[in-house]
Amino acid sequence: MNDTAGAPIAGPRQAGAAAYAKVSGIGKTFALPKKQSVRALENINFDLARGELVAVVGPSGCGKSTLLRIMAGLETPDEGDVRIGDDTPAALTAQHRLGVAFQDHALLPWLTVAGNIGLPYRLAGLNADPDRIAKLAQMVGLSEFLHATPRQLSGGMRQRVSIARAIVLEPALLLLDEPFGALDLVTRRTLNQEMQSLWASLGTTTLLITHSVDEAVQLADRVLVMAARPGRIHAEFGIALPRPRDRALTGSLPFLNLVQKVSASLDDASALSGNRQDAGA
Amino acid sequence: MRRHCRAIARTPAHEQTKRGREDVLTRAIGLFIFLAAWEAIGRSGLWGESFPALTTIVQAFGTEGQRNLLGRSLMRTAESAAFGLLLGAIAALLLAASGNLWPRLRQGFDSLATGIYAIPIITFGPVFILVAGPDSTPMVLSALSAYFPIYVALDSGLRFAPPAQRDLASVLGAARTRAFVRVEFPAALPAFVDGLRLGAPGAVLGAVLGEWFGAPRGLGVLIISSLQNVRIPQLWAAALLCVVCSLVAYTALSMLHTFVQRRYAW
Repeated sequence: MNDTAGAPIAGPRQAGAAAYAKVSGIGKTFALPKKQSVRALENINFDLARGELVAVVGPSGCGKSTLLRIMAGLETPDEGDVRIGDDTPAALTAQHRLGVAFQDHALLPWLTVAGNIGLPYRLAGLNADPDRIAKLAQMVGLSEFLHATPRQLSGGMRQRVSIARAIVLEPALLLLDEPFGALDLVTRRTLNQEMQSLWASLGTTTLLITHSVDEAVQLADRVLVMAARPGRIHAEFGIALPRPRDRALTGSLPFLNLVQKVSASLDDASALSGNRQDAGA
Repeated sequence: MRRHCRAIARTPAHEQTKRGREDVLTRAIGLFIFLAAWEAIGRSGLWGESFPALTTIVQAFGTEGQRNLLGRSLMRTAESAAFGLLLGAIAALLLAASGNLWPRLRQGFDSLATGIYAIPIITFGPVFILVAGPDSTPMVLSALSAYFPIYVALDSGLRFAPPAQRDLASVLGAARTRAFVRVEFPAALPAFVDGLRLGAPGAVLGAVLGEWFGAPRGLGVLIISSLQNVRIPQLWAAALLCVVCSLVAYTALSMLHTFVQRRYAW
């Protein structure tokens, strides 16, 4: 299933552009106790154009995070492969050109905000660039908190630090695993608004895993809906709404229609997953 | 944007102070009960003449000569125990770090650490008298007594570090040693200091035991000498100093643990 809506895409991302990151025929099976196994992913195929933001939504247990971990080089697929430009995720990791932000912000409590944003420099064995760190802190609205420790920050501020850290080395691919999933609704909406302008200025190719259809439609150029057991792409939606997608636009009919369509597809995917489980029981 | 940011208030200072006072009070009550029971049992003669009252033991510190003897012995034992604890900590760090950097060898390091610790420490005495000499034997036996709890605590801290931190270091392409130094070891630092705290009394006992094997001085030497000369109050005075030495080390390391926990853990 493919669908598009609204006006032509504005900003740095161009839908339909040549594939930059390509996921081809990914399959993954996990072994369980007593010689049992679970098929987590089945024949996953999609690509991302340079500068495109693709969101993946799906029911719990559909393999979204496994997919992200494979793209991050943290898991090895049983079948298929991932290419970012000409590189594998492992090669990109070795070049320090992958950025990642998890739902658990994974900030180091003994470092300051500046230290956490600059951590990728230290882990890569590079000299930290204080100007870049200060600039990113300013972009995520934390310039006055550079010397604060993560414990002194709210949940939303910690996620901002986590995102600034993910992009400090100008990654070729940014992977976001439900970065706002643990935040309250108001903070989440605020961050969604703010992050749009951040991505617009950076133009980083991004894969966003999220549970929120609203968030996916608001932020992404395309939304992939996954079904579970095994995890697979159930539907794809092009989000051709103008940017910036501010509060007025998120209350508009085209936006709400798209949210409804993606939600309906997600319901289908969930029902399908449930049926497969029933059939297998 | 900043107006939406809200710094989370930490536990109020007055509550921390109140909790700190309660801790001190609880410790003082516990210590008082311990000392009062000791005094009562000693005075009643319930456990015979070999267990004197505290007030009788305190008399062993009565003369300047006795005070000097006990003081010199304490300093010597404390020195051996401190260096032993340091040596044990280094050994534990090397073992745990090696197991972390080469996970396939972890079980081997684990068995090695447990196997050495399971050998009755007293059997090492004659070996180290020959190998390290009587002066260094207390320090070596102190290290042997202390390293295991430190190793277990640190290994546990490294194994159960937040997976997201490990994943982050991996995705950012950090070399294993760099990830260990920058992320994994600092995250496990509270567990490491916890191990030091647990290892401190063992380090004191190891030093005392090491002194039995012919060290020139120390509380262990004084205990042997007091036993041979049936100087019961002096024997217990030396034992009491061992307890004080352990308690001081434990308390100091507990304070360090509190600091490290606040700084390095969520």
